[in-house]
Amino acid sequence: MGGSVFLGQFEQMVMLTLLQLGDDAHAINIRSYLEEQAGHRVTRGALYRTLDRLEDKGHVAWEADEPAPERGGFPKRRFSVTKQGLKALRASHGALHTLSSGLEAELRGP
Amino acid sequence: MSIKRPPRFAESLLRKLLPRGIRGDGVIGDLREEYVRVRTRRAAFTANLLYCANAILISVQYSLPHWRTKKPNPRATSDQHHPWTGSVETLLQDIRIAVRNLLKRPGFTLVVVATFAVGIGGTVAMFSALNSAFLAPLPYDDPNRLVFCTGRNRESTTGFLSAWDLFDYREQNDVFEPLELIRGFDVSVTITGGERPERVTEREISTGLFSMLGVAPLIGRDFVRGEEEVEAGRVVLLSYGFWQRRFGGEPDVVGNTLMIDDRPHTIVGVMPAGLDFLREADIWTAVRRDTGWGSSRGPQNWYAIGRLRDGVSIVQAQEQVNVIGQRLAEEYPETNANRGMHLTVFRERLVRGARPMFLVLAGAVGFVLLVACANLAGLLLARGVTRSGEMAVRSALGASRGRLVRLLLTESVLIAGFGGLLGLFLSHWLLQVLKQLAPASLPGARGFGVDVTALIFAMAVSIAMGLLVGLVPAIRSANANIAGQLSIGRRISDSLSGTRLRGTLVVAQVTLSLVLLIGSGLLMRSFWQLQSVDPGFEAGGVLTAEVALPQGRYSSGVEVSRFFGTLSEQIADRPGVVAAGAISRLPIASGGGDWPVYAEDNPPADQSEGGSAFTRTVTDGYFEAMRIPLLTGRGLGIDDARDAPIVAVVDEAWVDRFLPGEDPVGRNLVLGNTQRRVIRIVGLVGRVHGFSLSSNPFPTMYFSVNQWPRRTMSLVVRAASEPTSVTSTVRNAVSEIDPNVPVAKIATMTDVISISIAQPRRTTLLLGAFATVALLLATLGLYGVLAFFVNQRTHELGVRVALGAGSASVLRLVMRRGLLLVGIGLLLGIAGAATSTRFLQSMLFGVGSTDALTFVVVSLVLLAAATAACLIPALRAARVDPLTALRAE
Repeated sequence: MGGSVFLGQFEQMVMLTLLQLGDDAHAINIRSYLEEQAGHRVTRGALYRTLDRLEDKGHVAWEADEPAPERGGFPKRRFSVTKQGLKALRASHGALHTLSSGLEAELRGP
Repeated sequence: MSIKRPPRFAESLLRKLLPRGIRGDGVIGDLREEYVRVRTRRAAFTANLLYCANAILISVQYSLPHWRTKKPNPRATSDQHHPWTGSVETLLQDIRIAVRNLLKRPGFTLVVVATFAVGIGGTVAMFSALNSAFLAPLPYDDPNRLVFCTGRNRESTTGFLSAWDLFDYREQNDVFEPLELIRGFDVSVTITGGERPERVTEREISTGLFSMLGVAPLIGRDFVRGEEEVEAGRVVLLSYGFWQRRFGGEPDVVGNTLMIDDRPHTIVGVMPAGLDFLREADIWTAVRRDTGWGSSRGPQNWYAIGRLRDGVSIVQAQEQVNVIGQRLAEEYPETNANRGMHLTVFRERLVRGARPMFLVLAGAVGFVLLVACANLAGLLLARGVTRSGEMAVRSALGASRGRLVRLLLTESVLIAGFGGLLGLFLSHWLLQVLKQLAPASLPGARGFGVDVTALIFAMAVSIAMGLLVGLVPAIRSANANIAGQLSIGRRISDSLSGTRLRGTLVVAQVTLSLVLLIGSGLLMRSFWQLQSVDPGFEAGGVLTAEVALPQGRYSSGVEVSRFFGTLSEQIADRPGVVAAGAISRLPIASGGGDWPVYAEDNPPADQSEGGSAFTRTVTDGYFEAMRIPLLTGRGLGIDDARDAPIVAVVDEAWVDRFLPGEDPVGRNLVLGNTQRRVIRIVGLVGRVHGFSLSSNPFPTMYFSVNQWPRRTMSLVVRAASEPTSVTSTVRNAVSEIDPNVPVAKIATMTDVISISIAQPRRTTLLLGAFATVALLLATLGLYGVLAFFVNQRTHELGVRVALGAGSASVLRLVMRRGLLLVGIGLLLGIAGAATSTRFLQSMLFGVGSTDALTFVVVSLVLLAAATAACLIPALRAARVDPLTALRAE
């Protein structure tokens, strides 16, 4: 993996969600936000896998929050986008933007 | 509030499968958090199920690629070096391949998963029910030392005892720690003093019962021994449900007064929820030695529960109570000759009524499971043959035999797992049905549900079933001859032994289904017989309602008889009413109220050998409203006034028992055994099923409400049209006479009868459903095997047709093959049914357990279904076009 500069579509969606949620970016919230906002069914496995992959690439970092009692002492990770992640996101976004210029009418649809 | 935990086994599975460290732990924590949220909205069962499903999905989706990326494995592409090493990686890889394979054939997968679900669901439901009813410990202190004490005479050991006898047993024994009394039936009483009068169920017990069982009141205190004496104030314990309903759970009720039938009772405590000891009751009152039900040695209305002292066996205890019984018989020969006390282990007694039904249903479920297994094994075997090409390719690419067997087994266990999950839902539903079927006294019946034990059981059954039905097909497929398979190309051949094995499986399915079908056929016939029993009255068009007069305001017999006399007359005069009357105990709905009696001209040789008959108080219009025919003499009427000599009307069953072959009118009967009363018989009416449709009509004597007034009577109102149309007429008539008298249990007489046979109806339906499922599976199995046979032989059939065989002879060839299997199965099934249906005997009514008609009809039904199943592939075979068949090569 690793070498690619651009992010996958789902990776971008996850990172955008992290930015939107800010301090609330815990896995459960990320998933429900994605499902609500993007209208996209997200399986837990896919989300965790993507978060791990983004972490391995250095795009995402996490901090452990104080675990609530109902979690039975299991840690709760709060995710955030790293500087490098932001750069990659901008690059992907910019590329998309460039590629889509002049196509606004088609992309907007009838 | 304690924090809910997801199922432990699922979580520990996750811990094993997810990566160690914070990544895995974070996921487990997230799942826990979601679980807690779901639990606030959904039932524990649903939440647990969702959690398990999510755990499985996450393990598959998340950890599969994880292992691959985290622990790059050079052997991942070729696994021939470690066929049986228990590496998780290989297992996960197998799972992935299996999932992909299953998704490729959704139809096949669906059928197989559904079959597994039926087998596993039924088994888990029966396991849970049997476990909580027969195996799980009773919720009482040291329940194994509890014994049930019933009355014994020459005929039976299940009768009641008199309260005074029981007091003597209690005082004279030294084998019981305590011995406590319970009245044998519940009484409906009226609670007044609130906004409206309310009818509740009252049970009378001796004061030490709850402490003996180890059940402490939730608030307040238990009864104390002194409260059995007549000079003590009347006391009552409330059930949790009644406390919530009437007092809104107010803790201050203790010490308050509750008006029960207009008598003040002091509330001493509230019992905890879920105390469904024997049956539900709203309130418990303490037995009193010198008044009411507890005040005599003659009438037998009680049984008892005792706790054996340490080191005393039930046999020793029985010996001692026999000695006491002997002593009582000598002391009170009038009442106690040939009477004694019989001891039974407590749990035995609780499950007695339910055992035959549960064992039959458990047997049926076992059969369905076996049929499902045979079906699945057949399907997987056939599937294995069609996949032999794939296996050959895998094997040629380097997969070892062990690895192939493992792959196939993983597939079947995986399907079994999904089937098991689906089966859990099914069992949850089935348990709701079983709950309805179980008698209220059955321990744990109301708590029937899928618990952790059941979940573990379901998992174990699923895995075992998956391995069982998958093993032979897997080994066979893996053994496929590579060179042969690859060179033959697309044509797939099957061995002779494989054909034989599948044939045997079909025979087994037909056999087992036939046994089940015959069993359910017998139950259906028995139910049909039961339904067509003539109850002795015309139930259609009759509305019934119970009216109970509070004792305080209606203390004299005159007031009671005037109330019911006026009420019946007034209702009968209203528009829409054809006739109206009342009876002290409604037939079918309640038995009991029997008194010792004999005909004066036909006294029994031995006083203790006398029989008994139901006593019933009726108003004038009762016989007319119920359309019970008056055969000779007269009915009861105005002439039978309070001060006139008491007279009785008897029924045919009474005459058969006490004056066989004679006209009873003008003769005398002798009622009671201590204080005998001679009563003249003035009329004879038709026999009535007083107790239930399935038991023979019991001898019955009717008395006029004027001469034998009773405070609780059931109205019977015959309406001109729909019986429910007179509901408000009845309510209004009662409240016009006295607005403080409650009208309860309003129902049509048809419903009363229907409710009385609800249990046999449900048992019949349930067994019928199991049998239908088995029939469906067997038919499917048969179809599958024949379709497969035709598929395999297309080439051969084509050659036959090309050589001149007509389509009829091809049809015959295939049909012969199918019907041979069915024939063997039918013969074995009939033999099996003939030996096993006797277990149904106790549940059958009016039909023998080897009823020839049922056997024949059911066999024909199965034969018809089987023929249809054979016909489809046979017709396809008959239409084989030789050109196409041969070109297929």
